[in-house]
Amino acid sequence: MIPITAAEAMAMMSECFMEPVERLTPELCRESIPGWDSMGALMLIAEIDERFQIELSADESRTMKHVSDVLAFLAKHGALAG
Amino acid sequence: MARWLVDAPVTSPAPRLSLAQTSRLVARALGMSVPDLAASFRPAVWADLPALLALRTRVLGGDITWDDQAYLAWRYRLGRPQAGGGECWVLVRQGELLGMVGTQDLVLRCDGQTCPALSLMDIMIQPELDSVGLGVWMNLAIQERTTATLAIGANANSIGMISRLFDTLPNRRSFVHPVKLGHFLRKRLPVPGLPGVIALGLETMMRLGRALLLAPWLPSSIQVRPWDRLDDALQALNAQLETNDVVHAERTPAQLNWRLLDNPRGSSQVWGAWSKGRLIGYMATQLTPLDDGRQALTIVDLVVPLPSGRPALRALLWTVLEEAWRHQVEYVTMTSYRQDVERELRRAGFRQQAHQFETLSWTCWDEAFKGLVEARPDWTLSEVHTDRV
Repeated sequence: MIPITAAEAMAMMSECFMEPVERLTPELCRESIPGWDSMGALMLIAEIDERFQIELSADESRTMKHVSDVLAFLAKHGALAG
Repeated sequence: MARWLVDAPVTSPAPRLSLAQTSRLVARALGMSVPDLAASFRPAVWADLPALLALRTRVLGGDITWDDQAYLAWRYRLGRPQAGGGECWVLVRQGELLGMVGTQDLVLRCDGQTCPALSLMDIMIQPELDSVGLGVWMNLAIQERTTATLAIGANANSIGMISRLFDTLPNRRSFVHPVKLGHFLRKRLPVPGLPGVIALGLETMMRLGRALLLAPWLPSSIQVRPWDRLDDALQALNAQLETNDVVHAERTPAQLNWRLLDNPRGSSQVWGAWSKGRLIGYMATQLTPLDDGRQALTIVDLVVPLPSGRPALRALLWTVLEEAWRHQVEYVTMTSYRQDVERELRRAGFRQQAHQFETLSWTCWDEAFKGLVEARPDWTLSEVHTDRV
């Protein structure tokens, strides 16, 4: 697994949630991102699975309330550089 | 709502999940193998009915105001080849119903070509399986089995999924014609008695205006009358529609009788427009209850070949507006996907209203047919191709 930078993680979330990357900040909450719905959550699960072979469960995905939670998950599993 | 869907042109959403990708994730979340997941998805049979009713009660709760068993038995085949108008697909794991998705059979016609299609409706999954991706997987599994799959309309929960699993076509258009103004004015003029007087004056003027706009253009050779049971007269109308450059959802007498007249959730009133003994158009309406005992009238289906049938269309619109007055409904509504019809709606006093969930999306694996369809802006789709009525 090759860890990605925070900027690359933001770009990944931008694609999953169909949200302009410049709008994404760690503090931004889920409710403020229209594309972070059940479909967006599934896109994120699929992306993390394919890119890092890390399993993000539906239960764990449901507990993520901010962009920072995704970054923390990636860091915890060694997928975020630095 | 999802911003990318507003008045969107025909687009292919990106990025997309494949069925293989989704199958792997969903199977893993459900503790199944991918082959087991695929094998567990099948058309429902009559014996599934109790589990289906229980699932729907869990998901819809108090929103079910109809006899749901009668509704399911009417809408879906459930293992009875001659019944229903489509399959209800279920995912069952070791005897436990995890989710369902309903379909309605359609045949689309465009430029002399035909294509079998399904309209998707009634997607429900067990609440504890939210976020697993089961709804996405069922959508993709149906798409894979069908040449063309339509998703007509959306809601706040489904709009994101639909936008990323289907090709988005321009939105359908919602129209409204106010008939009674008392309720509207009472909310804005809190003066006892005054709103009623003003409403009566305005409603009378509006009715006079409708008469001036429509009545002088109604030829005496056209008769509009209730059509109790649709019959082979419809075939002549279908033949006339072949001359219209539209995407046509085929209608047969049996299909329309089932859909419009035998529906246990609410029967429609069908009006036929006739000239010299020949059917030249028809319209179906339903009364919809609102709060405080008020009602609205919805045009749930309207088929008229244009431009030759313009007098028939005007006669049908005149009839529905007079019916609306007779029933003292608040307003008449219609959702349209045909611009020449919409010009006549506006002429009759209908106004377009913003409606964020009147979406139309589809997938079609027949590339030649897809090209024909997407080159045309007009369809004869109506509420009878959705699960709303």
